Amino acid sequence: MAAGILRYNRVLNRACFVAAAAFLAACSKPGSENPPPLPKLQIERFKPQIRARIEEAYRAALARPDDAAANGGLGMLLQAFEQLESAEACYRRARAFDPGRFDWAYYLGLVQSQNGENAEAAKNLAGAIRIDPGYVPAKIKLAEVLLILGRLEESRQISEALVREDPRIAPAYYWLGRAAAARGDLRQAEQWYAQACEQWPSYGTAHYALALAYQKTGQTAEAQQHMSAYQKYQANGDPQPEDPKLEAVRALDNSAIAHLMRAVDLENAGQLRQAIAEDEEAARQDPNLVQAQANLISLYARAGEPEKAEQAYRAVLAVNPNLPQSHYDYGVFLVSRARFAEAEAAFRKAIESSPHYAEAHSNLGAMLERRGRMNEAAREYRAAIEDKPNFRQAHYQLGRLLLMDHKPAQAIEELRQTLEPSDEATPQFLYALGVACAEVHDFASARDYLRRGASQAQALGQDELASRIQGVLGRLEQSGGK
Amino acid sequence: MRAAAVALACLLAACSPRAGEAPGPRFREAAAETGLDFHHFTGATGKFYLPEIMGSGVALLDYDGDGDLDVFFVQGAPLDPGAPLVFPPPAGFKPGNRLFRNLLKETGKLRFVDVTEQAGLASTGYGMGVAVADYNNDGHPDLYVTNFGSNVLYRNNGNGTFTDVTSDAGLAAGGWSTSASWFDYDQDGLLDLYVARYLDFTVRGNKDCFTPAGERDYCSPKAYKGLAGKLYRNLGNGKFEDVTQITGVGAVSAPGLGVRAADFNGDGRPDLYVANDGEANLLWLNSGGGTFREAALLAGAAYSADGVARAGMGLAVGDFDASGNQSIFVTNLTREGATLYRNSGNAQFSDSTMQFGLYLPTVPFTGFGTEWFDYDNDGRPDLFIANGAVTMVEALRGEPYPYHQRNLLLHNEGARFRDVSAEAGAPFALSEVGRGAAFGDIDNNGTLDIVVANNNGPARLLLNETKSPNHWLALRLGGVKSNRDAIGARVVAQRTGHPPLVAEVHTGGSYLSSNDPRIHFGVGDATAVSIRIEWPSGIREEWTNVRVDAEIKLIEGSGRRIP
Repeated sequence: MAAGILRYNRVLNRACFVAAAAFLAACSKPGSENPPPLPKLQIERFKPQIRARIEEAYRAALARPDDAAANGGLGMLLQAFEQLESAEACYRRARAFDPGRFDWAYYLGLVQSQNGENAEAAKNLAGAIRIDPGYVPAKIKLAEVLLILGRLEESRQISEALVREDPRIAPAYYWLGRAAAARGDLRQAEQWYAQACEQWPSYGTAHYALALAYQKTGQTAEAQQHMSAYQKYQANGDPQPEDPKLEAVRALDNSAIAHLMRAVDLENAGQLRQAIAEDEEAARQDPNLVQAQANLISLYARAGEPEKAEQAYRAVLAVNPNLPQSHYDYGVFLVSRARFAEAEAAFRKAIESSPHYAEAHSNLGAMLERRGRMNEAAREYRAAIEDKPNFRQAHYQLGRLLLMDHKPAQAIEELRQTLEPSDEATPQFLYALGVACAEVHDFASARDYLRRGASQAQALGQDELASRIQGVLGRLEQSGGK
Repeated sequence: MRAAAVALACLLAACSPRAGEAPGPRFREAAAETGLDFHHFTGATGKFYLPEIMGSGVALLDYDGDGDLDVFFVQGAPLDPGAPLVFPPPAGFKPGNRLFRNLLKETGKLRFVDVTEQAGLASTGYGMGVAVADYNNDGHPDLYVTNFGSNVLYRNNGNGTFTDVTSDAGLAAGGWSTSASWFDYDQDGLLDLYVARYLDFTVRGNKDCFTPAGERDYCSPKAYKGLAGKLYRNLGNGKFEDVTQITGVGAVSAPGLGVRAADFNGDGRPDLYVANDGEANLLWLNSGGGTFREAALLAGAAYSADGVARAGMGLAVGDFDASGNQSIFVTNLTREGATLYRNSGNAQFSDSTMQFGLYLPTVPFTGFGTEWFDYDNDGRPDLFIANGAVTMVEALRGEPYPYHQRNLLLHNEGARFRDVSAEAGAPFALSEVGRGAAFGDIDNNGTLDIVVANNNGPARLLLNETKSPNHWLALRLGGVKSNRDAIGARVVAQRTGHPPLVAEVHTGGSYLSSNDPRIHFGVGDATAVSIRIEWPSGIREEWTNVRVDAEIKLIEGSGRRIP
């Protein structure tokens, strides 16, 4: 099981379940309706490997039309490939043939919820819970579905039962908060959301809800604090209850695209080696899946494998010579190898394919600047800013260039655009801005920017930069700039 | 006999709702019979270029000033000239954008004729959207057409023709523009222009995208990078200045699709809301002094309640709950549901989608054009949504164009909305790939009609034939110190025994489209109302005892000044 997944005790105290029992008992009994026919599948355009698997499962379901496992198995495969309407029909059949099996009721509820059929989803999720009262993910999903349906009290009862059973279940607090907020009780909602955050500090969604609740009740400092936490974690940090049933479905999709998607997630999580492995598998399965090769260029470059980065670039070119991202990533890689002329060519190719590629313009500007072609460099920086007005690096590069060209007033205009947000690049930007202000004899501003730059550099451990800024500050004082 | 008469009377009474009650909706599709013959062409060649699926817009404007609404459609074009077309255009197809003149006023009959060539509006770009306003205050509505490529500003010459003045005006923008909105952000009496832009997609840099099962399909916007929108300040001499950077609105690059200007925080200054596809929506609050600050996150208008960015497409802004505040309704992707951001004042929003019953009816569909419009004149703005998928609909697999969905009509019943599509007539049984939608009283009969621009299909004219005993009032505002269209004016209609109705003059919103500039109030059983207007110039005026069931023109400075 991947790190960061909540482990909940599935063995629950049955006594605690009584609170929600009234609702669950009221739900319809399974198997009372005629099962729908097996869905007619149009899978001719599926990838052959996927099509073959589905066809095999489909044949099994046709051969044993009353067999719950055959129908349900086909449903799982279809769900894995996001054929949710067909999956729903299969699960309905499976549930009709084997109403006592948890899996079919649960899967049916899940896909119905995804298909927007929440009233039906609530019935089947409740049915699943009746079969296995200890399956926490089903209860969390049911609380959500009931809230969507506006059945706030029932949602509250399910979530309350959950937190009584196990006070560590952060999503249950979140849904309690949502139910309270929907009733208009923001103070109560705040308390539940706060408990969700306490149980799971990286619970981005709960921080978001709490921030908005605080904002509405006028607690702006708290709102800002939790919104910052949300921005830090977003929804990626949300607790995912261990859900082996759903994992079993997901595991059925081992296609090239699934590997590619997993690679993107792993790269975003900073797990380069694992991302490379997933992209490599995607590329192995489908050499024409050019995006996998394209992603590998920068992954290999960052992992210190230059030969493989070159290979990946060539593999992309063989399939699609015009992908702007691959040229750009290759250009960045070439810069890291000090192959500047080739890098310049790569950035130009990226721009040929995508004329509004701000980062490519900016990097091309840097390459031109290295060759002393300042006017052309400035034009590229301006193009980057035109396409992406908040592009701080391009503003900085252009500002620096203008400063060197003895146009400090124009440089100040550009450098002022670099100060938000504040991050590790800010001291360098403050340094340049301070120097530009000194050039126009605005010594007060110069001192202010330089002091802020020095102080921030120091705080960020950028000692060499801090020392340089201090040197300029010292010279400024000595020269009488007051 | 008497009993029978009573029974009949009851039956009749049941069939004829009284004023203030909600009559059953009734719309009739009348594009072909009225000569509104437009077929959208995507240029698709099987390479799944993203612009092909994003559709186009439609505008309602009275370009010839004869008192009825004419229709302007934006058209696609080949993206890969010379390549075999997947969907060749129908026989008699005329390429380029099309202007249809409404003959209603002169003939008494709703009938359209294509006047594109005479008007000088023939074009060959890959069209996306349209925004209409009288930017030069000469009394004639002008057209701004957004493209995948350079945009075009057409100045209305006032004689039935237009002139392309893009180059002089400096409004080409470039990249991939989508919706645009005219508004006077600096309140100098000249209309400025915000242009939303989408992605850095290029034909040459097209990426191959697939469904989870490996079929080729259109890419998600995440395959490309979002572009910052552009803000242009009207200098009053036919030229515009690009103020994207200095106003601050260039600080975020995101895939913008829908945009609408309105005063969300009640400070008298027009703000901007931008619906982004798959990224946080943006709320640019006008700080005065020529700058904006982005405030969507803490205002609760960036994400849905679960803190997740939705695929924002079109949007509607209006006072749907008689609170006096401008709330926002954003259409999203299938399985996301639309989002209702209810404004509780001072630009503080709550995701109230579920509370108002708007999640369940919208979750099966990918929504685009939308607007608050009171189709039954009961005083409560209802919703229309033009729907159509952007990736293959599972149930339609195997069809040549598996993206079609039916449109939605949602009746505002105060505390909740009710899906009345099934009872609203044959147009709502059509399943097509809806994109742009424009709203206005096309037949000048006191009810609001709809024009839908379908992707890769015929445009539809949905004439509102709802039999309603309710009253209405149409207001055409004329700015004097304010911009001549009075865009941004806040209009309040006061009725005895009911909360005030509040609307802001606008043409933008929806998706890629431009609406009837007239304010249309459904006033229920009221037979006279008082009108208060806060003009963009800051002047406040009042007109009392205004008779209903008519269109009236109110000129700035002609009413009674109020503090």
